[in-house]
Amino acid sequence: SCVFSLVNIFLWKHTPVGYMELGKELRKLSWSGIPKQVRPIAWKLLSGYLPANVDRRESTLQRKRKEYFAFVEQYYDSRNDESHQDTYRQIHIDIPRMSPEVLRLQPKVTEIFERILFIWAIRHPASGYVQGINDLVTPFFVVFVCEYIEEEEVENFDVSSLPEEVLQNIEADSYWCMSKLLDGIQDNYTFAQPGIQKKVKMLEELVSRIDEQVHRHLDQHEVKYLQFAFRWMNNLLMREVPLRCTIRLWDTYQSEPEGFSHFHLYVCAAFLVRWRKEILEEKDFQELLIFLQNLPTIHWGNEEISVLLAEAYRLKFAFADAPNHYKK
Amino acid sequence: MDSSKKVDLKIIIIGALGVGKTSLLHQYVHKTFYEDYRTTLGASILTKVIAVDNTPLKLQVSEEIASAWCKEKHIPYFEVSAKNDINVAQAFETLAKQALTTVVWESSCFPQPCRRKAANAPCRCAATPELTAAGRAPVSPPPAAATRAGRAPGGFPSSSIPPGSSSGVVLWLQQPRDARGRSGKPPARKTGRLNGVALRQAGCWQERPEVLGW
Repeated sequence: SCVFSLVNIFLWKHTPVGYMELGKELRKLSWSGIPKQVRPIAWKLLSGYLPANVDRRESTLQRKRKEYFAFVEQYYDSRNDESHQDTYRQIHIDIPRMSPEVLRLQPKVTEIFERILFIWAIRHPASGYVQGINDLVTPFFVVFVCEYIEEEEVENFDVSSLPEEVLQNIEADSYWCMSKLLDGIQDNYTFAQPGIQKKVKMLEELVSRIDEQVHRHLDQHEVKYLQFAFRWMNNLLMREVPLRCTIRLWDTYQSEPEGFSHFHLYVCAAFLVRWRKEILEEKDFQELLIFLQNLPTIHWGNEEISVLLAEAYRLKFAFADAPNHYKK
Repeated sequence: MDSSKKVDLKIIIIGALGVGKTSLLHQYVHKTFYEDYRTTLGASILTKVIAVDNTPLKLQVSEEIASAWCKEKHIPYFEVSAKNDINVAQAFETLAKQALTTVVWESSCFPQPCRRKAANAPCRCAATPELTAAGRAPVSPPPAAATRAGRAPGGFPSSSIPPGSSSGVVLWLQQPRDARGRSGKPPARKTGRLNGVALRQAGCWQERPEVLGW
């Protein structure tokens, strides 16, 4: 029924007032997970890439795709110029070292990711390319590829078998949706990454309020939050859970106001406390850190993410509007 | 092995992106070269227990923290290959020996130096001795002794190290010059080419390194 109502939402025509309602309804339905069949269009709408107005969608898509390839035309040849070669080189060596394993080894995929990241970096000089941003393309790319294929598992799919035009659409759509996401977390990637520093600090304060025992245990063993949570913030937990879980997580992040920047903090807190038993069993610095950097989530699926999100929502509800709740 | 003489030793590996810090560490700890691996974000850590001159050492091998203060000269030089496991163990174990014989032990800086509680002062480890450099060691494979940094007088002999204490070393990993990319091309990794490994003794790092990703 959820699929049904979502599909209905996409096809409806509304007055401008109706679009507001439609957006609200879409967020509400998407919060608890978007069915695979409608995820590509739902993500494009939720990210703000596509307008709610059905009549304007196709023309917007065409215009944005054209615009992206005009950037490629304009900038991509400069990747070997003196001023840009370091950026390009870093992107080029990072892409083979992304997750997940299977997709990134396809030359066609590598090319697409290099273009997306290089164009984004050139167009956003305040941050430029920072390691970790490369991972953030993957969920969009994978979800948008799914729009065009029958296979269940996109990771075993040969991307080069798609028509060139389709690949170009996927590339441009991924670029724009990633840009929208990064707009909301830009201070994570500007010099000295102040957004991340601040969020790690907030995580520490939050955890000290919600689970003092875990907090004290980490402190006693001199584990600093930055040592494990830097990556949680830098990569939005993408390195901590399988890709299918990240995609499910992003359904909610895109449905939640300030999902990637603010709600993520509560998800991280819930995620840490989720391992309290294991954490309290570890009795020294290096064992703790090795555990925290290799959390056993390999078999995680929707159910674990739903539990995590519910707990994060509860925490947000309890603490968000009561800042003193997490001040000592 | 006399475990009452156990010493915790911390090695930090830093270096430019993609030079093979993680690969080197995995070769040393797991005896494996991964063709397939992911960029390290922030820091990561592995540990290994070894015995040096009958002293069991627990190496806390932490990659990628700190950078700027390490840019000094006088760096002993090794060539290693993470892929073909050339000189990897020697490099680490030479470092371990160096640390045992040369660090000033009253330094409270390792393994988790400069706790905020301990001092409000910024973390600059005054107790850390500056090492006198040992010029360049022979190219691979150097006998461990030849690569040991010559220590200025004042280094403590290993027998004086209190059990349970700890020390640290920084390993600064660099690509050999001819393997560095020109015209924006990345160096060819996976060719099994040797990496130059610069070794430098050190003591402490800034509490909040500004740069965390390589």
